[in-house]
Amino acid sequence: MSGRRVERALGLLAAVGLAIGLCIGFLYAPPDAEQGEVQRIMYLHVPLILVSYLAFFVVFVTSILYLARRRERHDAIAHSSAEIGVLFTALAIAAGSIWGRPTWGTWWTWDARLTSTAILLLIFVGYLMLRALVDDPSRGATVCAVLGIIGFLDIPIIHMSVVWWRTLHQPASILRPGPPTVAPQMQVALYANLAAFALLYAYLLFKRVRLEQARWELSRLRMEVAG
Amino acid sequence: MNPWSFLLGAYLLAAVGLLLYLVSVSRRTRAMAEQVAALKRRMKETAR
Repeated sequence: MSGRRVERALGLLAAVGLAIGLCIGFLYAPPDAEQGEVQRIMYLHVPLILVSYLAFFVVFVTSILYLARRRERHDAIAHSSAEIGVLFTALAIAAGSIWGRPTWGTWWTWDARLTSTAILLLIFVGYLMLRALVDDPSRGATVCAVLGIIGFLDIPIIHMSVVWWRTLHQPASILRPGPPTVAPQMQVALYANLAAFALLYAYLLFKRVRLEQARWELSRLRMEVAG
Repeated sequence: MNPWSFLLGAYLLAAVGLLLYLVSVSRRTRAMAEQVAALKRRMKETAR
């Protein structure tokens, strides 16, 4: 199957997956006993943040590969994944903040989990800004590969923040030792949405990598023209 | 507090954000492909 076909298939699967996830989240999963209906924001917030971890993990791996092998393709994937990761993290923070207002009584608090996630967002916004600032693409790729590797190290800190410090944010419900602490119907909604957002990430990554490859090609052609 | 206004706000914000990003990537890709094609055309003309 050609790249374009895979991209289209992923887009279709993601759209269907998101529609199914929405139905399961709103029609199948029951409202939370304590939080009520507003808990359904978790079917958006949790998949968004978990897929952003995946996006930054991809940045981490492809950055190491770029430094080792200097292949454009690895850099294109790292750059694209970082941009999608920033979008997903920003949306996860926004959704969490909207959930926090009726549940915690505040839009934002300088809790360890929230603060370390905001730091992750800032690191990768810096990564994208650095990309835009450096003219030479290969130099920009090298500097950003180093930043991408360092930036990823914030994720274990985010994950463990609820264990290491006393936080308002609840402990991990899925990525934890032992069985998940969520009711089975809610787990179905969470996993369905997680799968849909993972497909959406894959679709966006395919699309974004194509843009990055065109950028590299343009830069190569410009250098050829300049002699 | 009405929970549905928060739910609507969160889901709508995510939908708009994702949609705008998708449009932005498509437009940037099209613009880049046009620049590449124009440069290739110019190089071909110069070679002739």
